[in-house]
Amino acid sequence: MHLQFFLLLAAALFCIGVYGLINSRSAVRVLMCIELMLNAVNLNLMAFSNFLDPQEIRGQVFTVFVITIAAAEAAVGLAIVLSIYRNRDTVDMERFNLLKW
Amino acid sequence: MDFASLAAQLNAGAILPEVLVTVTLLGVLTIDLVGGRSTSRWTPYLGIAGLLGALGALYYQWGQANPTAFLGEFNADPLSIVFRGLVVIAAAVTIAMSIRYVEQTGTSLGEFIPILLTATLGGMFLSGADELVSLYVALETLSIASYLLTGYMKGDPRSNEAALKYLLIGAASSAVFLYGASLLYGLSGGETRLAAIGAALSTLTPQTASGAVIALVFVAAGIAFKISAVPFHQWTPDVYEGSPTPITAFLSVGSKAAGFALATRVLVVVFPSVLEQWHFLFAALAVLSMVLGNVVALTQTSMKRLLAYSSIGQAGFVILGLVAGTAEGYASMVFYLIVYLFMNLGAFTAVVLFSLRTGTDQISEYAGLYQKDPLLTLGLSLCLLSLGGIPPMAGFFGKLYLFWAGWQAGLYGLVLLGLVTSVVSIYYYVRVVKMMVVKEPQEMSEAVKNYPPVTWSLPGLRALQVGLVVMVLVTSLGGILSNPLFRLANSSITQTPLFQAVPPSIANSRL
Repeated sequence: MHLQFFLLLAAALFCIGVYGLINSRSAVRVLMCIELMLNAVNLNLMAFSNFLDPQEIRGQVFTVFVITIAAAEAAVGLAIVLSIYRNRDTVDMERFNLLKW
Repeated sequence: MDFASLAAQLNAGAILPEVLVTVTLLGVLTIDLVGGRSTSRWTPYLGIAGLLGALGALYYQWGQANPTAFLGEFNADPLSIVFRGLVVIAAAVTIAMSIRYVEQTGTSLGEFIPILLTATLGGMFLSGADELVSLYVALETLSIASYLLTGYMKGDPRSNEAALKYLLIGAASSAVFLYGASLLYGLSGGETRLAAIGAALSTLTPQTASGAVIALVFVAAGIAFKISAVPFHQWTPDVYEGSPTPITAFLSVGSKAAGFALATRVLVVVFPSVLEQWHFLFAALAVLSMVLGNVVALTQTSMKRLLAYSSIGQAGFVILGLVAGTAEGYASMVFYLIVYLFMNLGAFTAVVLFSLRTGTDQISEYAGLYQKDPLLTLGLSLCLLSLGGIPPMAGFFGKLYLFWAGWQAGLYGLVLLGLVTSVVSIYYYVRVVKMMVVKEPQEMSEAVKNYPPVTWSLPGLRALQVGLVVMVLVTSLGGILSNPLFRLANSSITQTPLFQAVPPSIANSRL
């Protein structure tokens, strides 16, 4: 197996995440797309760690930190989505228009 | 191995200020849990005391022989000390102005202060982080706590909406930053320390150096989000308008200072091999921020949005110092950030006070305020004039030093643009001042006509008054007596090892 395959997969996943981020109307789907982007990063880190740094495996340690923080971020994100749903009865991004210039 | 020798080996004393902040955080949280809501009379002051203690600890760290701690995870060099000090002061003033604000909106202080202290902690670690993992963890500590603070007014749909926008854009941009970090890890052959990555990147051949440029673009996107440089600024006005006003103050000063610490360290240490590219990239960000921030601010009707766009413009000026790439450039950047801290916090304290007394943030409602509240008018006017760069305020000397350093480095176009846009900025700052001062009594706005009698006896207002007076004093005297601040900014650069490689003045004349 070549390193390139892993990097290509990660890049594709990252691009899908960015595409979903721009095109989703539901706030929950945007959160899921952000998770996709973070997982692309994790794949990248794991691949580099296996091919370039098999002794100290810093990339794998980094991945553990990324997963942990992504969980915290998702928890805070869902809490905010919940409180906005209570006030506005919707999670549709295009109807959040109280603030604009 | 016992604890003391382990601590000595890791040089754990370098994070003593952070430890103090953590202890205060846990203390406030526990006291609130055990003592109930009645303790919120004095827990904010405990928070401020803890932050001042951290500031004292930072002072004693200055000029430490061995600044590297935790095997290179954290760096306590003078640069990080200055930025950590900025974050700590911003947090202390934010607590002082939020006591009354939080109480008046009917939410609890017992959670507000621990979350704010967590954000402070993230900002402090971010200023000193010297390795990709600790950098990312610190960045997210700051960001996640900021999202929570932005959405702190749970019943207010505007606060909810601001928090959601901030979270989604912030999380996306930190994912982009992280993708850049993973590329750096790969390009350097498995290094995560910034210095080691920088050394590895400089050995790349021209064919593979394009990888470094791609990593730079991703990392720069994450940084530009944090310092809200155009075109990564769209979240700024919305978040600043929707969040509680003291939090807006903290985001515009503390979070931004931490962002500049991140920018300086990452760009100077990791990317010297693609120096021209990052200078070009950030020069473009500076041009866009100065033009767009200052021009759009002209059309604003809400004071908070005005200050949001003005802070975008100010970020453009600060980037100018970064792009200069000389020791003077970096020193002028630090100096301007110090001055900016005081004048912006002063302006926000005044805005908080006005909205506490009248319940509005509209600029037109400030008309004729001078008749009713001279102290507030004076404080807000001095801070706004300083932000506009009128001599002899501190802001004038900050801008003078920035533009001088930029001119010395050969950035003629950028400096001229900076001068033009600061003239534009004077217009919208003076518009507010004029409205407050010269309106005839019959032109007073409704809010000012119904202005409550000026009293400082309500709980928490005294702290706000002290904060306002101190900020205004430093802003107005900091210009004439700017030598201590100036020397602090200069020695923070000259005594930091990572700038030793920077020549005192290089003539890289582009733009």
